Amino acid sequence: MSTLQRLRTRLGRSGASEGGVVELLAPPWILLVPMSLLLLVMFVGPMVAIVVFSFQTGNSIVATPLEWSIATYEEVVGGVISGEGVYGDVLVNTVAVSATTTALTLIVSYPAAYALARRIKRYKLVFLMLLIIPLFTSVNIRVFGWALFLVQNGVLDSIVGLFGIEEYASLMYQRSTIILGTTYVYLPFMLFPIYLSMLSIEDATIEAAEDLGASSYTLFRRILLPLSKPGIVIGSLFVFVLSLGANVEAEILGGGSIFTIASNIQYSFGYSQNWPLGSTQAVGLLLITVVSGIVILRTIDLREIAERGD
Amino acid sequence: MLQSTNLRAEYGALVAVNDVDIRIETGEFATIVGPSGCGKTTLLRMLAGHQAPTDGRIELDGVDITDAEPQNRPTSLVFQSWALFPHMTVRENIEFPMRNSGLEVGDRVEELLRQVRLDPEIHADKQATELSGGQKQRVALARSLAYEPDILLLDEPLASLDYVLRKRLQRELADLNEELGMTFIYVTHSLESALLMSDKLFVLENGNIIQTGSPEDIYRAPNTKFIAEFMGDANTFELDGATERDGSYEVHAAPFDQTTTVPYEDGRDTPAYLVVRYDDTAVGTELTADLGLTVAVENVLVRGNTVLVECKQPGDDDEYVAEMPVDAFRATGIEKGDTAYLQWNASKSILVPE
Repeated sequence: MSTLQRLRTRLGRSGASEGGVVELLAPPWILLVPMSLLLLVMFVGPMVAIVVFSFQTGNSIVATPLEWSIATYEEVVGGVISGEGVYGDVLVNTVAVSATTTALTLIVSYPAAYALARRIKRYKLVFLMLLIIPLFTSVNIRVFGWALFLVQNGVLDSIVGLFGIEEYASLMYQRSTIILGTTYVYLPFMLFPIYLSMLSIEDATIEAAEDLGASSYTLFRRILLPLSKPGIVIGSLFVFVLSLGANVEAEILGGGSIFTIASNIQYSFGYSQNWPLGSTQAVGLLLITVVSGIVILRTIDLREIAERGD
Repeated sequence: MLQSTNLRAEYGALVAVNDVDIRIETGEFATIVGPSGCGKTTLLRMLAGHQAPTDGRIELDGVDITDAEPQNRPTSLVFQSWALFPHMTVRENIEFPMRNSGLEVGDRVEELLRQVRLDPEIHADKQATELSGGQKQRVALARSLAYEPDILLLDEPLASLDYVLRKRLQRELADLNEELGMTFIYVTHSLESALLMSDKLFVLENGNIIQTGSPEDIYRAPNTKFIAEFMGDANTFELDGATERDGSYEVHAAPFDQTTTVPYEDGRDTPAYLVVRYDDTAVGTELTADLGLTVAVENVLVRGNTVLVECKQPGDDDEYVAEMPVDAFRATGIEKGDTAYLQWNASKSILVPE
């Protein structure tokens, strides 16, 4: 068959399929249907349920007729304002953990990201793999490992004992221990966005700055920092939001003596079986997440980043 | 005066720049020209301080700057990609070097923009990313000039611009060099740029400087066959006989089977090739010039107001080309497939060593 004939046959075939199955699947939005369904069932539905439950008095919508109440909101918001009950402490704990984690991961990641993206050539892959592999392990396993390490009469105890130190305050069940855990667990989420934004800075840009008399400090402040800012912002957003919801770390390393919103929500749903109270706190956490996300993203111009890619 | 002595760069086993000695006077427009991979960019990067030489010295007005950081040398490099700071405006880009070296900003940004023929009113406060290629090139130039370097290094900054714009900017660069009295060192693979702008040419091949001189000198007396062909499209004939006679050579080559006498500069190796440029060569039905050979016309390509006549000798693979005015070619009545004389006058012959 000549090329021309083949072309003609193919053209004929596509003409014949008009109105067929192919045509039906053609509009591109069809391709989004499975994902949209999944989002609807798995995200939007539960969110609505949570909001509805936060205005209820009991644990079941079906058994009792709908009974709207803002009692749980009064309890939580009132508690935060008056300082009575745990809610004030929980809020402070949560924000303190998230903010400190974000700051710590940033301080640790920034120089590392710079070195990996711009300085280190040999063994770079090894370093990156070492950073990625922990992500394949469950957070629970890693955090329990920490607990075994830090707990009294644990691994750290015996190491310290070798140096003759017998008595020291337990490192477990403190806010700083939770922060140590979240810092470690969420470190890659800060490192990789910064690493990628550093990687996208052209060598010539750095060289041009050096060439034009920039000192190391100027190079950092006027070239590296602004050009890696998108990575910093995205990384901060990831780490802050993920730390807000950090539950396992708070549960295990906080050991029931330090509560964050996430662990308190679990407590309300589980131990105290107060779904409306848990839902109210969940709504609160959602609001904090959305607001902080907006605040963080407002600090960069997304359009500027898009244009820089040109 | 900028001087390099035995300047050498190696990448593992590869020698990119091989013991290069160059000497460039203050205010000169020097061009380092050579094909891709000849080591010209490496050489320029060593002069700018972005790459440490494996061996050798660089001196500026007698001061050794071999190991000086780029920040501390009075050179400024205009990058091939221009390397404007994407997060800054045009003004911020140009102010950057001035603030680094503590220069008074004042009206300098406007002044520099006008110098590179950009309207400050329109462009000064644009984001660097909003500019077109030609405008970016001009801003990069203004930014380097703002640093007030003694030596401006240019790494093919015109390569990615279109022909018309490139031509214009070449002229402007030459003017600027004259106007400022600043030393310009330009690196390019394009002969056209090299000839048009330079006071002095360095021809680089495989990391070696193979000829230095004014563009005119090199065009007239190329040192090697490579340079002769690089300096302009040319037909090359391998000589099978060369005898010296009073500063000239009497040479013979099989394809044209004639003996001719060509002047040849003293102190070079015995000539090995006779070179004649396409535009010094013509085709005709009769042999009217001094030298010629019988060829079959293989192809005729019209190139604006000239034609390229591609010819071969029967039983030989070497291709010869004559470039002649369209009218002159039409007047001969020769067509593709005809047999004709490829010919030129003896005075147009150039002899080169191996």
